Amino acid sequence: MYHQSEILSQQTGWIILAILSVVWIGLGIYWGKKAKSNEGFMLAGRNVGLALGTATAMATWITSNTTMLAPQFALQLGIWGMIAYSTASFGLFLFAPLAKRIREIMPNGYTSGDFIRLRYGKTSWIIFLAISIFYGFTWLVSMGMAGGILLNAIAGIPYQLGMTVILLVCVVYTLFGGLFAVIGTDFIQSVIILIGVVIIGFGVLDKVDFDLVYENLSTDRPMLINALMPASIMAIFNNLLFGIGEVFHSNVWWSRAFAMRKGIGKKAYNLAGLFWLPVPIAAGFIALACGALNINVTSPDMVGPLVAANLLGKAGSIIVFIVLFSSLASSIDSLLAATSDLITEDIYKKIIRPTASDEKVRKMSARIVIGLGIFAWAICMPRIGTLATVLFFAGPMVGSTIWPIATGLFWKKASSKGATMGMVLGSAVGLLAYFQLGWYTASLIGAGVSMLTVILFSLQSKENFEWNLLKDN
Amino acid sequence: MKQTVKIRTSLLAIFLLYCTIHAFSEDISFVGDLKQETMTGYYLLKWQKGNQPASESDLFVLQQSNDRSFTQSKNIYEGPDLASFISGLPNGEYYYRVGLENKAKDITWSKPLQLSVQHHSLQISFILVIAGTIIFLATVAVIVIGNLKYNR
Repeated sequence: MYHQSEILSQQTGWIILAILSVVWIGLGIYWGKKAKSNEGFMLAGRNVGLALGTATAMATWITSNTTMLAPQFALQLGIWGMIAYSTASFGLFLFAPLAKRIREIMPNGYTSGDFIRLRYGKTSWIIFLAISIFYGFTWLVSMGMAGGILLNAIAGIPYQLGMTVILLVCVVYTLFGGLFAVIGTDFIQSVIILIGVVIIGFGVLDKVDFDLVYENLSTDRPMLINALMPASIMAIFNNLLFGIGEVFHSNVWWSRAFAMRKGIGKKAYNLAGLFWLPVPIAAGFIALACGALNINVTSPDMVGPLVAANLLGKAGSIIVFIVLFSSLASSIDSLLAATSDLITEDIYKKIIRPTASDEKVRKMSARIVIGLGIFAWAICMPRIGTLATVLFFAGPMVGSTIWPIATGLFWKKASSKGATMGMVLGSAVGLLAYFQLGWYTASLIGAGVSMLTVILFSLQSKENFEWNLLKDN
Repeated sequence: MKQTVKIRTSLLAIFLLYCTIHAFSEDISFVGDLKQETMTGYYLLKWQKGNQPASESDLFVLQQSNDRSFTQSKNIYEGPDLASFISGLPNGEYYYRVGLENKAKDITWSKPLQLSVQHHSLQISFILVIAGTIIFLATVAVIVIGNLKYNR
């Protein structure tokens, strides 16, 4: 870490952190009482309505990546970078019809892994699980890191301590409440995030001189407002496809599709996308003002919180702190719950102990939540890179799952070989692009190679998949 | 015998002097190679202050110039931080140096760091944009057509 001048005192930081921690853990325990069975713990009783469904999808998608990575995109890649980030909302829009289809063809499903196993067989399932667990883990690590970076930059709390507290709080309340607690806290967190973003937005609009920002950008950072900046042009579709791949394959979104009442999923995901769309643009814009405001940035992923906190003073810093803590918590809890479901259902219950009782499965699920927390904590301890480099490393793998998922849900001729080869070739070529061209190309190339592979295999395929095979499960 | 003692004393004195100079060295230097390249126009400049830890009272000055001799330069940061993220640079050669200001307002400068900016070609960028558009539209088509088919 390179010394960065903080805005709040450490004491204030610890007090806010303690209050928020007590509130989330208390709510987790309260909502956890509703989870009587394993299905209640994992899927909130499959009875989530429109308001909670929309709030949980939106809050989960507003992560540290929206509030910290969108400004990083703007600072690194300029105007196009900011717009590129907002294209991740297409992941939610396109998943809306998929959520409806998933609920119809798999009324008793638990995880995205269930779908791949039943639709494509064991080989594709193992590759998919490897990709999905790896992605879930990079997301979790990027958010644990974001928590540590945030607390350090705003309140001077040592990175390791701040990161440990955030992970610990999320593990504890997810452990007690399962998906009930995750969705309940997501609702409150989404309200806090939206109110906070509006306050910060008005504060910034009031205090920033747009002419000065433009003048500073055109003299000191001209490429940020250049419509033909090559890396940012490349990033547009890369981020769009990364976002689509993230939502399509991740059990975070599938578990919500299974948890929502029939007929709710499509509306909830569309509404969540609409609410989410302006957030990265607002968060990204403030990063462009850092030069005009003479704010030194020692790590690009901290630019958003730094500018907002500097502009709005102590009160603003506290709002930024609360908003960011909420956005981090709402995503970490979802990831812990969804990844633990994936491991419990797809590895423990399907491979290790198929005859395990409901109680045993729930106990195992809790152990996996703790294990994931500890593992993420150990990886987060040494700060291994910026948020973008950590998260986008999973980009090619994530991009390569788009076509196996989309065609698997709608094409009877989508074949197992096509899905397997699509994921393998897409990931391999995409990773090559990550190292040869840059992180802002890897998802796009991974998705493209996977698409071609899936289409080629489907054209030659003689399969005629029977959808009832999914329903029976 | 006497000469051996003298030699030993001299060696000890040289060793102690060397340790003292290095223990309190305030040499400023950039972290990493002094010649860097980027295809994105952004770079994180990091520096360190000799063997001593930096303190809140340190005043570092970071300068950017288009020539190695810094005949025309501008200060892009002044303060106690040990890094600065620069971005939005067009193609070209950029030179950076960082200095530490002492109480007498004198500045000790680091060796300059040379940053070469050469953006990706626009041709590759547009090829990727076209590829991205095709993949995106094809994905939308699969979903829309599939949805229409199964919702009739």
